[in-house]
Amino acid sequence: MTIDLLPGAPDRRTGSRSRRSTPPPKHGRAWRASRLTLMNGAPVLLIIGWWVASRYQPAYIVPDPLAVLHRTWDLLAGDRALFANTYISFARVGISVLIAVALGTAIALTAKYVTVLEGLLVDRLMVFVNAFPSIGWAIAGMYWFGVSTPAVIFVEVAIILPFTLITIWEGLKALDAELMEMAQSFTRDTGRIIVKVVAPFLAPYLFSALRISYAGAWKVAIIAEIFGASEGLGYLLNTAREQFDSTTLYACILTLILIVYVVDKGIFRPVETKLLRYRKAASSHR
Amino acid sequence: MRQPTTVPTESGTAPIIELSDVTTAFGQEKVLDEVSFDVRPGEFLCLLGPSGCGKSTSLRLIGGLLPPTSGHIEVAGQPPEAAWTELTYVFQQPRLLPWRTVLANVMLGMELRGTGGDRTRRQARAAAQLELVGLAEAAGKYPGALSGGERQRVAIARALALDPQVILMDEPLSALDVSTKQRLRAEIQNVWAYTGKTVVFVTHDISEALFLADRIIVFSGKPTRILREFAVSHPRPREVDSDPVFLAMHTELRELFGVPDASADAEGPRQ
Repeated sequence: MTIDLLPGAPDRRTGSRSRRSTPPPKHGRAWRASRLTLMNGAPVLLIIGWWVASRYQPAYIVPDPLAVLHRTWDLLAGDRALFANTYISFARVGISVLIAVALGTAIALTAKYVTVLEGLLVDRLMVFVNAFPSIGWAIAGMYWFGVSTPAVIFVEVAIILPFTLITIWEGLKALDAELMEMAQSFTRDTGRIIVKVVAPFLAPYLFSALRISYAGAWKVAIIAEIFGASEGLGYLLNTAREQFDSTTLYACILTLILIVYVVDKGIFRPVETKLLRYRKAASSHR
Repeated sequence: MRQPTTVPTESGTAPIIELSDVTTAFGQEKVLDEVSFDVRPGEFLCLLGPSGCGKSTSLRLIGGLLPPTSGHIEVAGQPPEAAWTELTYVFQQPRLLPWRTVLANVMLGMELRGTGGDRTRRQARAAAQLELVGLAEAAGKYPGALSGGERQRVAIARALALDPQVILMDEPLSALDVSTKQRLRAEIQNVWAYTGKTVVFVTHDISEALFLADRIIVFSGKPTRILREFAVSHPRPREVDSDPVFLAMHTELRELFGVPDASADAEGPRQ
């Protein structure tokens, strides 16, 4: 699996922006207007099409978009009995992401510094968890932990672990011997080297792992909760499916999309910009 | 500026660095073969030799980053594994942290070593070193916004900020273009004269060694032995590329390597 984790990531060995692309061509006013129109117009058209279709189809095939929107509001803040499910899922996702990032970091660090284990952890474990089908974990989790929150968290962690593990492993591989030798020439205190050099070097990778696994964990949450939970957005979605309640079903999906989008735009993007501000500053100073 | 005219060849000053009969081997391959030399306090010593000989290895031995296979090393009266606090490095690549500003990069060495006082004092110290290398206005920039020569000056400031007795420089100019190289070597000479530090400077560039050194130790190819010690007592600054005296020395040094008109600084863009 290859994922472009940090597009144009800094070459931290030399400090130069080695993969620096040429600056994007300046676009005119017309181009920008077209871009905005397409970006926002296409979804609006789709929703109108959806609304029209809902006039001619039974609700279980194409539910009324306004009803879906209303139900989404209930799921987010309007109806306590419903939004409790949303925030239970949210909490599980948060906990799973933290566990997966911590576990991925621990495994990657072990593979890097206990070299005898590298083959086992990278060539065996990483490949294994990466290839293991999500549905397999979901079923196994239910059998092993019963229908419970630990079951859901187990499944989510198992499925997003390869993303965090691979990202942090890549970060550790990029941390080169030259930088470490420089640090060692100034001190023999490994703790200081970790705090001043290794941790800040890895920060963008850790953050990347967090961001990727957050979006991934939400997708996984639905599957995990269908099999292993008696509350949560996935549980709600499954119940709605059994009752042919497509309004709630689509509302669950819309809620999920909104939560992923808002957190990405509102938290992850700003933090990323701050973490990588030196790159922007570097290019603007020239 | 200090004018270091005479090198105290036979004076009573105790050497600050002593290598005696040092041999280093990596597996079967012998890199250094019973090498012995001294460095005197305040001296600018160049280790000159073809690429791939044991020059950088010698620096790493002095810096305690590598133990010798056999032989004895002493730095400031201590074994190298204890003496690392007395010296700092400047590498071929500047090895700056791209996420730190220039000022914060100069502070890094002090932070890692735990010297230089509190944050405010470290900042002041770092700023003073940047002033010394002519980069005072660049303090707030990131390394990515600097040229190669400027980055290497930041690395020199970072090494100076620790106020070490000895600075070890491992081909610090070899990655730079010719004009930057010539400007920076003059600056290194000025900084050395101003601070009075002992410098051990590794290079494969004969002109560079003639320009900078009080004394040149010429290394052979692997397994490395010392071919010759070469005192350069001429006043500074030196016109090494035009003065016939230096041109003659240049030829003499080049012939020492056994391949006249080639090898030693063939990598350099000149000649």
